[in-house]
Amino acid sequence: MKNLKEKLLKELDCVVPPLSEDVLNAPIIRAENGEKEEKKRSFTWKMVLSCSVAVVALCMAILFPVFFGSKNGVAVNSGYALVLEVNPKVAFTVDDKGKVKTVTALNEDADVILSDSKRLSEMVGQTTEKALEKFIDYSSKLGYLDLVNPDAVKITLSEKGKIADGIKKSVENYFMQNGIFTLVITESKTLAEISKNIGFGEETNIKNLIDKLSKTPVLEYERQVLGKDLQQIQDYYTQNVLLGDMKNYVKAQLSHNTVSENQVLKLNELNIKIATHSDNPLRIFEVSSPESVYSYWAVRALPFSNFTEEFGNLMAEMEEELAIYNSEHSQKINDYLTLKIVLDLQDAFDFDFIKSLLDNFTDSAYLENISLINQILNALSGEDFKDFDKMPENEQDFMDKVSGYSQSVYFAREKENSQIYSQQRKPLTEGEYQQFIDSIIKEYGSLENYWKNLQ
Amino acid sequence: MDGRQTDRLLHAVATGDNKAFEQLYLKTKNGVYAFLYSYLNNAQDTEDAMQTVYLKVKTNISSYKIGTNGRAWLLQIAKNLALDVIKKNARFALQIQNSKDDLFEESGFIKGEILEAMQKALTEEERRIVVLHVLWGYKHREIAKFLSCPTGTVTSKYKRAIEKLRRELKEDSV
Repeated sequence: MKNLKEKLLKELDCVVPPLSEDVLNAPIIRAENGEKEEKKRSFTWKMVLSCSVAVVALCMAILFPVFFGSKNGVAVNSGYALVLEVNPKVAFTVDDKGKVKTVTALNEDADVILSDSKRLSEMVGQTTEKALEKFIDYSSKLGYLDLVNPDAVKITLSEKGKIADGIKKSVENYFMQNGIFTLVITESKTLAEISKNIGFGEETNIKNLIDKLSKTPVLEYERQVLGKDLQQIQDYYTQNVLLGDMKNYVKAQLSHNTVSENQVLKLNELNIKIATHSDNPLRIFEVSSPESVYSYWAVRALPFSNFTEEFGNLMAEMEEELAIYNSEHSQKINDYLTLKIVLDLQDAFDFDFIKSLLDNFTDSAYLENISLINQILNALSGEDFKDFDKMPENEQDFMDKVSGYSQSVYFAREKENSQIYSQQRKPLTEGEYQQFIDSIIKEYGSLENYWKNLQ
Repeated sequence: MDGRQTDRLLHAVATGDNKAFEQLYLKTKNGVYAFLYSYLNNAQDTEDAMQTVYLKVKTNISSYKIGTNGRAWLLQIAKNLALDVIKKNARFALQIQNSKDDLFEESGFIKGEILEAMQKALTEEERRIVVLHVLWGYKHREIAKFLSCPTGTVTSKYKRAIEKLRRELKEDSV
C-alpha cells in the first residue's frame, strides 16, 4: 500500500505541471474584499436600515447595564475560563459576550474528541452551555461517560453566582433530558489558579489568557513537543505515544480481529454446507452455477422458508453465528461477497503468530513486530491509522501521526459504544434527579467525596 | 496529504497568505491531478482543469469556512469543475463526431507504470476510489459519503481494484 502510494506520487511528480504565472500571481479574494464590493453596490435602503439598527443597538448598549444587573454602570462580566472534567479534560475560555473563544484539550482522551477540526468548530463560537453539551455528548458517544451506572462530571470556573449556577443547571438539564444518572460538581477558582493549573502561568486577565490559548495547539500531544528537537520528539513519540495508550489500542484492535478468524472459518464452512446441501431449494434444477447462487443469502432471499428439518437447522445455525459475528465486529458480513473479502484478508496473515504475540505483548515484543502489526491493522481496518511504526521525521510529521491515531481511536470507540449510546432512555424528572443526588450525598457524605472516590 | 495540514494552509490562504497558497499547491497537486484525471481521462483537459481549480481556490476562498474539512472543500471544487468539463466535451464531441473520429484517441494518456496500469485495468470509479484512499488518505466510509454509495461497495471495489492492479503489474508489492 505504502509502496503503491510512493510509486504513484513519484510518477505524478513527473507528470503534474507547475502552476501558471497567472494563477500564482492572481490576487486572493478575501471575505473583506467581497464585503466591500457588496457595500458599494447596496447603498440605499439597506444603509438606512443598518444605521437605524446601529442607533437602537447603541441606545440598548448604554441602557442595558442600567436595567439589567450592572454595578455602578460597569459590565458584570468580562469573560471567564472553565475546566470540564469527564475523563476527557478540557479548558474553555469565554468572552464577554458569553461565546466560547478557545477549546483546549488537557489530556489524551480530550485529544481524541478534539482531533478533528469539524468537532472543534462545533464548540468554538457557541454559548458555554451549547459547547459543554456538545463536548459531554461526544464523551457519552465514545463511552468516556458511564451511561448505565452513576457517574459525575466536574466544572471548575473562574466565575461565581448567576453564570456558574446557570451553567450547572444547563448541564444537569442535559443529563435529565437524556435519562443519564450523572452528577454535576462545580467549583469556583480564581482565573490565575485555573490558568496555572492548565499550564499557562498565573494569568489574571481573561483577554490575555484567550490570546495565549488561541495561539497554542489545541491537542495535548501537540503541545508536548513544541520547541523540542527531533531526537526529543522521537523519544517522546516512543515513550508516550507508541508505548502509551497506543499500545493498548493496538492490542485491542489485534485481539478484536484475531478472535474473528475462527468465526469467519465457521461461517464459511456453514455457507458451503448450505450451498451444497441436496435440500437447498435453489439446487432443484441442479444447474451448474457459482457457489454464490446457492449461498445462505440467496436462500434467505426466497419468498418462502418451509425447508426440510435438516436444512432448516443449518440455516438457523448460520443465522445465529452471523448475528454473533456482526454484533462483535465493525466489518459486518451481510452478503456472500463480504464473506469472501474477509476470508481473503485473513488468509493473507499468519494469525497463529499474532495470537502468540498477543499472549506475550511486552514492550519489546510490540516494538520488534510493529511493522507487521501496522500492515495487519491497515489491511484489516482499511483505516487511516497507518505508518505509526515509522519514527516522526519532524514536528509536523509527529502532529500528523498523533492526530491520525486520535482519529482512529475516536472511530473505534464510537463503534464500540454505539449500541449503549443510541439506546432510548426515559428522561428523568427533577424529583428523580434530586433523589439520585440525595442518595449519593447519603452514601458518600458529600458530592466532592463522591468525585474523589471516582478518581 | 493530512486533513489538518490542508485546513491550516487554507486558513492561512483565507488571510491572504500567497506563500501558504504555494505550499497548498505543492502538498495537494498530485492528489488533485489524479482525482481530476479519474474523471477526465485526458492529460490536456486535466492540466487545464488544474489551473482553474487553484484559481478558484484564490477567488472562492471566502466560501471556505474555517474549521471545516478543507480536503473535502478542495475536492468538491475539483469534482464540480471536472463535471463541467465533461459536459462541455460531450457537446463538443457531438459536433465534430462525423468529421474527426480519432480526435481524442490516445491524445492525452499520461506516462508512468502505475498510472498506465490504472488507466488500462481500472474503471473510472475504481480509479477514483484508489486515488481518494491511497493519495488523499480518505477512509472507505468517507469515500462512500463523498461518492454517495455504500461503504461496503467502496471496500469491495477498492479490494478488486488493488487485485486488478497487482495482476496488471504482475507483482505483489502493491
